[in-house]
Amino acid sequence: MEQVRLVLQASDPISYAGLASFLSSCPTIELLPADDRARAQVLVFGCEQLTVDVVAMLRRSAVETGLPVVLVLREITESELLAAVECRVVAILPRAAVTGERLAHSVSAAAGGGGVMPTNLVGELLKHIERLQREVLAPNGLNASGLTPREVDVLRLMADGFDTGEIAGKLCYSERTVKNVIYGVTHRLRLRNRSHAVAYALRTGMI
Amino acid sequence: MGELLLTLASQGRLVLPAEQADEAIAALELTLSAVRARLRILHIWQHIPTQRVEEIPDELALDVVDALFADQLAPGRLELAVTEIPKYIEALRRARLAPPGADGRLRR
Repeated sequence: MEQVRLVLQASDPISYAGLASFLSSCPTIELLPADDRARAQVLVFGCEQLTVDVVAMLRRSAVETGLPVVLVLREITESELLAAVECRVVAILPRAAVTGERLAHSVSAAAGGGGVMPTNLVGELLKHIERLQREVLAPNGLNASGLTPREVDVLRLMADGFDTGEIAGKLCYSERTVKNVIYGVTHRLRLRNRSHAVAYALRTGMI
Repeated sequence: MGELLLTLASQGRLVLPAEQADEAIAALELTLSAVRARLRILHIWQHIPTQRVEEIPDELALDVVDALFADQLAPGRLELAVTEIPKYIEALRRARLAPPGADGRLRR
């Protein structure tokens, strides 16, 4: 089996020694000297946290070598995750969970992945996108369905078979307000009529 | 964030299954639609010469007040969202892998 050639870097000597010990014991990995970076396929970087200095170093490495990076650190926040991804980090291992086997698996995936981000990292990015959406919607009284609580109330009552007057009575709105709410939803979601709006809302789990 | 996602997708580093991409794109399109609706309300308000809530029809007043208050709490957030979200959508479209066999080969 062909070995994956990697260089190891760490923000402190203890992390370096610990990771080097894991990597040296793995037969599928060839640990190169730090100055032999040109032959490396992967960079493994160990640190406590993703500080400004670490990001700067990783960014420089990404520009100079383009090597995929396996990052081993104590913890990472969502915003730091974006910076890491930008620096070609393709795998993140929490320090507490690192074993020789896991490290070897991540290194081999990084080497064989052609720079493609692994599924779990893509999942984290999607979670980040969802959170950004919530941050935009929540202060505007909207939710992920794109409906306001008032629109959800009206649609639920429509689905229960109530007409405009009855919905107005139940929600203490004028009939005109109810009609405007219905018009707003159908127009915004490009739906044909009330029945279509109810069917769409039910089908997509909005109500 | 939007530019980063576009770069990752263009470089082929961000790749995700069609189903996952479609789900995320659908949610983003709903969000974009809601954000645009709110911005339309703010735009209408800004073009009312007197800018007095009591002069707005009752059925619109609540939406206007909600939109104005939200904009006071986080000024510019909707404008930023309306420029960023289309980039997310475009990035996910580029990153979307067609299901195997859809056209006999993988499509990007």
